[in-house]
Amino acid sequence: MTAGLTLQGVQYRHGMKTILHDVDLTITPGKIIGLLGENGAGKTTLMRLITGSAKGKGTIAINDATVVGERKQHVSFTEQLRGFARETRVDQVVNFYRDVYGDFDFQRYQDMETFLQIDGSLKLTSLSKGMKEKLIIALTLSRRTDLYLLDEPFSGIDSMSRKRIINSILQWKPDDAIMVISDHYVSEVAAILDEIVVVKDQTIFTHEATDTIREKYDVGIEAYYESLYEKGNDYD
Amino acid sequence: MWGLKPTTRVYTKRGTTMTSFGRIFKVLTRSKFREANLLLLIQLIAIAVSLVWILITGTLSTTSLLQAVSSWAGVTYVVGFYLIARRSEQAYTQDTFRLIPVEETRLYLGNLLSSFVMFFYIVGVEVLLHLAGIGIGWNVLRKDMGSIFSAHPVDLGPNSPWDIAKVAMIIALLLLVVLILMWTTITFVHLVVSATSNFLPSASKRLVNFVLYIVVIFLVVRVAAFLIVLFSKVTSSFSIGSGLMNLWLPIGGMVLVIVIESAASVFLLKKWVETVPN
Amino acid sequence: MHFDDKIPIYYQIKTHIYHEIIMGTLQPGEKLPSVRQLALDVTANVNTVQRALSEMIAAGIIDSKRGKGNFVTMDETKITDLKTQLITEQVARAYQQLHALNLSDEEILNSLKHYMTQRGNVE
Repeated sequence: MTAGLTLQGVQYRHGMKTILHDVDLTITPGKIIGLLGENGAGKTTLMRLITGSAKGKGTIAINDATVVGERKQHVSFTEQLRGFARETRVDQVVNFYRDVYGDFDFQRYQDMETFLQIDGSLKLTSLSKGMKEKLIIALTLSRRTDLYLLDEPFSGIDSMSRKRIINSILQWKPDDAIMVISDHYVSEVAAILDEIVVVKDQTIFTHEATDTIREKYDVGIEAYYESLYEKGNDYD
Repeated sequence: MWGLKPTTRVYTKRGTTMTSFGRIFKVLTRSKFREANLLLLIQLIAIAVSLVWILITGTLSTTSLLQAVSSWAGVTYVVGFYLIARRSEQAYTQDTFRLIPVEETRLYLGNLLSSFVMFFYIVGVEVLLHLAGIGIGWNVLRKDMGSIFSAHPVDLGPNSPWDIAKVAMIIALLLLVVLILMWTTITFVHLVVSATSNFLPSASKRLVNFVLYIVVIFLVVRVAAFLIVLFSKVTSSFSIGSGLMNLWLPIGGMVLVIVIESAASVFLLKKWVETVPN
Repeated sequence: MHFDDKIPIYYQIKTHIYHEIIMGTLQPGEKLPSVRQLALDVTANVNTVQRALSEMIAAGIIDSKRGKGNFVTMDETKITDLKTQLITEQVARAYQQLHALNLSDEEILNSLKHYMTQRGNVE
């Protein structure tokens, strides 16, 4: 059994364009990964391929589960709750999650709801962007699973909420679970990342441990990441 | 800085669990149930407004409720069908539903069954409303019916009441199959378009999808009609039924189309249909 | 805790804990918070904290007792050595930088004395 997340020869085309090609990636259990890349580079697509929401070629395995249906048991993704009517209340959304995910831990959800100050009686339509993001994070982390995919969890969020979300991640991530956090801006999460994966030129451009980058190149993660987009960078 | 302490709570053990048919059916039904109730509420308001209108114009009688119910029932069925179909299709392209660890066959069947149950929930409410209308206007209606029957005695001829019941049952079955066929066809067309559009240029998506819908609807209707006719022809050569009994043939043909469309839809869900991106 | 993005996080955590030991905030024999608590305290990843702890255990400053947790060593000489080591590192860095400015040893000593008296006046 190969534990963790493995992608082999993954390719994805959409609308007669190649979005991703030759994606090979192995992530070992327990790691927190920063998935970086410019807007539209294919970060979200990569996550959607892993969940099975997008259909591409190649092999994707989470703890040996390769079939999409089975894989879904092992992955929790920050979906944007668009399948719910706008009038749906937060607690109804929570009940939906409790119903359909056998690994949803209501106790954990309640702890996070308190910590992130989420009001269960509100309707989805009346949530602010930050509040909705916090709800999505709480729902995603409340599942006890092997892989968490957080797609740009900090976009449009004030710094106070951002810190709370980062603390929730540290607090509630199971020890051997993998967490992938995508962002096009790295500095706010750099300190909690084990590794970074950079999506560039329609493939995985770099995959390296953050402390290795700091030791080897004597630069910060943000500076390193930015240097990848400058001509003739010297970290190859 | 948050005074956050690692929790000492023992949380539920992690487990790998596929979502059962019962649970998927429950959540899919619930999302349609809310819309159905909203629709029925609007219908009740419409009936109330109609009655007030009749009261103002001054012709309110004990049969007015039945008239108001009957006149709004048709619209309710059509809108209800549309709302249920729309909710149903969302389950195939929204991550909210597609991330659930459930086999595509179960998702499909659960969704179809929930549409079915919800439509009959609306039918049930309409029947109750009609019964209420009939109950209130019973005295008037009985006299009217009595005069109709005495003026035109019903001639059952050689048919026994059992024969009539059988014919009624076949017609009911036919309507049922048509209803399911409409849903499976809508789903099939939707999924074919959704899967195909992934391979077409992303530019002018709306126009491409519009043309695609026209083409796919045309093809699906033609092929379905062909299959139903073919099935009727092939089976009619074996059967010796007559009159209304011949309805069995198109019913069989439609069931065949339902099965083919369903199998194809499940296949499309597994292989090609993507969800709407975040 | 505020991290410098350029320096490995595990190293910064290690230095942070070493400072606490030398300052006496963490006493010899004192039990360290759990790994997850430490991670939350400094806002870092559990794996990174684990790496920092492993290095401190390897250096003999932290004793890991199976099933009980991690403790600051009771061996005071080790702590004294650690203190000496950290002081030497700091002094060496300052000395090298001043030396690079072409200051003689005497000048370095004088400027340091001067700084200390000035500093006392300001405060």
